[in-house]
Amino acid sequence: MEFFSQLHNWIYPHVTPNVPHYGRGVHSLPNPDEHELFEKASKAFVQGERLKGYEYFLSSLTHIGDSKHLTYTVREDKIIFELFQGCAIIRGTVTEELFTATAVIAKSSDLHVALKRRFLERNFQLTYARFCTKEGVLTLKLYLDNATITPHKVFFPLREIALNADFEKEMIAGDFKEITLLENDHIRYLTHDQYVHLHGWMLTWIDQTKKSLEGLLANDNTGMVSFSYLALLLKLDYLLVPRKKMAKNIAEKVGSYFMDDEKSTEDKNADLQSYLSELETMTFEIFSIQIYRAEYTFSPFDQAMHEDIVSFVEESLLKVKWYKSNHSSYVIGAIYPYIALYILYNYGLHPTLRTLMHLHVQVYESDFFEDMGETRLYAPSTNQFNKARIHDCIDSAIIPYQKRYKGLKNFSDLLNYTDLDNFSQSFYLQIKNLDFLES
Amino acid sequence: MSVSTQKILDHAMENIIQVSTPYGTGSGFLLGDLIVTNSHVVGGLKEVIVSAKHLPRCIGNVVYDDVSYDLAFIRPPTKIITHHPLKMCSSVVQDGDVVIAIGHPYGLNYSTTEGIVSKASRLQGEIEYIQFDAAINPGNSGGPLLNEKKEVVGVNTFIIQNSNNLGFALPYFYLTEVMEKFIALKHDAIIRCNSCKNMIDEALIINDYCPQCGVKLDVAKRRREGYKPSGVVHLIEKILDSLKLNVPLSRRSQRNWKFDSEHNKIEINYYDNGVIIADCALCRIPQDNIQSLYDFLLSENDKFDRLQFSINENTIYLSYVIIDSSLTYELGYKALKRLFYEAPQYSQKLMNDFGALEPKYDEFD
Repeated sequence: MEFFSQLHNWIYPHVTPNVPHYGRGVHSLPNPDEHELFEKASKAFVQGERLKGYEYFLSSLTHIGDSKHLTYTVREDKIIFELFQGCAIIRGTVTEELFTATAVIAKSSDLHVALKRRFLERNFQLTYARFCTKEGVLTLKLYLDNATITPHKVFFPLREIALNADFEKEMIAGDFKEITLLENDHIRYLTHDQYVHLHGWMLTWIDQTKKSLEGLLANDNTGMVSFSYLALLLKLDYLLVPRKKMAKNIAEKVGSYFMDDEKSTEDKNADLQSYLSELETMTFEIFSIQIYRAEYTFSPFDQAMHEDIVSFVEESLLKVKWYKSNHSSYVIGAIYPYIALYILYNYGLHPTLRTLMHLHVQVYESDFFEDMGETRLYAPSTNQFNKARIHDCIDSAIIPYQKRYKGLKNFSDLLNYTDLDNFSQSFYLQIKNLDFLES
Repeated sequence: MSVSTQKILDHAMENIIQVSTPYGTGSGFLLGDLIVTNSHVVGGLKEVIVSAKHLPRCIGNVVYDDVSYDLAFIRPPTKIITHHPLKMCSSVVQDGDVVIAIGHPYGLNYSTTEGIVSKASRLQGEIEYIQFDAAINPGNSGGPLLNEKKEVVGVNTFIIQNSNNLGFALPYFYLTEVMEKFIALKHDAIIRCNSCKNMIDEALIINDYCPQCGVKLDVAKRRREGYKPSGVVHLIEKILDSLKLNVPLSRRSQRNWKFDSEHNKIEINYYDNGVIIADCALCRIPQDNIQSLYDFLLSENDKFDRLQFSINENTIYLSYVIIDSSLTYELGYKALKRLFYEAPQYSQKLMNDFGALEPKYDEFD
């Protein structure tokens, strides 16, 4: 047995998966036995062991690590659970017959008429949960009969209440600052020094982007301007992870850029530029209250098919080729970082892909990550890559999942380390070739 | 719409019929005691829902089904009173004649379009059709094509899809021919064989074969089998039936039911994504007391297990939302019973206590 164990460890050496603590969504890894536990929950429900089924189901949602994002207590006749989703806490009780969950939002007496209207309108759109006032408190509540329960029938309602409670509390914090949110003490604000660092980086990045565009005729370089501004906004969102109004504004600005309307690209660029100027003049105090850290149980994204990512990469590399052929190589330097940031912002990613996209950001933002206490992966002054560290990062993205996806291989030797552009081109080609076929 | 077209519509309106089946809706028109429509509109059913300006929704019997001419006759349950009965065309239709098409395309009641006859006799298979350029759409099927003398020149039957106004109507003389023969038979269950063209008494059809020429009559099979919902649709209808509601009359499609509940209408939709929503538009937002109305709705929401108040486009709804796979007879029965019971009461309360306004419905809905 020991021999086989050693052989197994030799074939699949233990590598700790890397979990990027940046971007939207969950900053921890899903339970490795998630699928098995989900199956066990299914079987238990079929056999009529509902509480056991719920126990398996809740454990399938529990992430790896120290995160206390989900806790539950099993009693003889019920399960009581509590889960965190950003600034929302969802509390629930499961009995043989019923599943109920609630998330308290704010005191109803504090609410502006616009919010009451909003929540009644949201009720028309929600499928499972509904807003109500209970003992003077605005609450989002969920009520399910367990008669035909399956894990799927709990997962989607629970995710709906969690995501919406968090989203609405964030919205209130952004648009109605005077309202005190209830059950909000669990969110973690950063230290003053950390805010100073992050604020400084925001200003540096805005300044760097502006300088990179100096001297370009805006009308002749709309593509360059667009890629630069969008990459900057996506970078601010990914690396600073702002919440409240800032997160909402970034989402609106990016969404508005891609909206199929009658606005010209120049006008859209001007809108982005105007928002960047707003950010530049944002006071340190306002900046600080927009950033906090919290635990998340559900990702707001559904996992994208790898084919969708490949399609976006291919489309983007065609743009790179077009700019190369049209003697506009300087635009390419703005497209490469944009690709990874766009994917991280818009798609629900497998942990492998998320770690790899994060690696690309780490390479481009080596100064920032060094400031955050991490190892530098690229030195712009000497054009040197930390190949060994890059190899390890790719290992941490690939090896933990090789057992399931046998075709996944570390591709660090296939990367071109001549300069950033060549690195990116070779990196994205390898992303396209990742083999997610289950063995 | 020109003044003359408006006059023709005013004259003909009470003769125009809406025909609904679980498979869709179409148009029809009253000719004598019978409603004329297309065979494809009645979908091979023996019973369909008919409604007109002076005829509330009711079940009509399809007494004649003719796949060959794409014609069907429906006998309404009661005589429909009309002050200006439609008459059949008295002259030969010519190229260039002005024609008017009336119908209910996409549920847009009494849509009227005018055009000219492009070709009075366009042969399609064995049958001549009138080709015209008045804009018609799905839902116009079975409606009348009228001339300037307000006479029926044809039955709007098909269009060439994705074309610009290429409409085809079955000429009046075919209609006259079969209607006279049908009336002479004095029998109310006739299928016209699409091969030998004989009018067959349905009772004489064995195993769906034409007793005259022996071809298989699909329409006979469809009429014999009728509409039989299955799965979740069947469960929804079973629940509605248990609530003593008239299910056939409420069907707007296979996945949509509408009921009148005192001053309100309750609508049930079963969407492709598996969500079933039963809701009632209770009232519209008033100009005063708005905040206290919102407070009331939000606090009432806490009292419900399965129902909920919501607002959409200025209208207040009481709804029951459930995923199809979670629907059971017991759950659905309890929730819908409560919805049908509470909706009119809440509607009245919101109007009395908060000055909410009555909901608005389509005049012909």
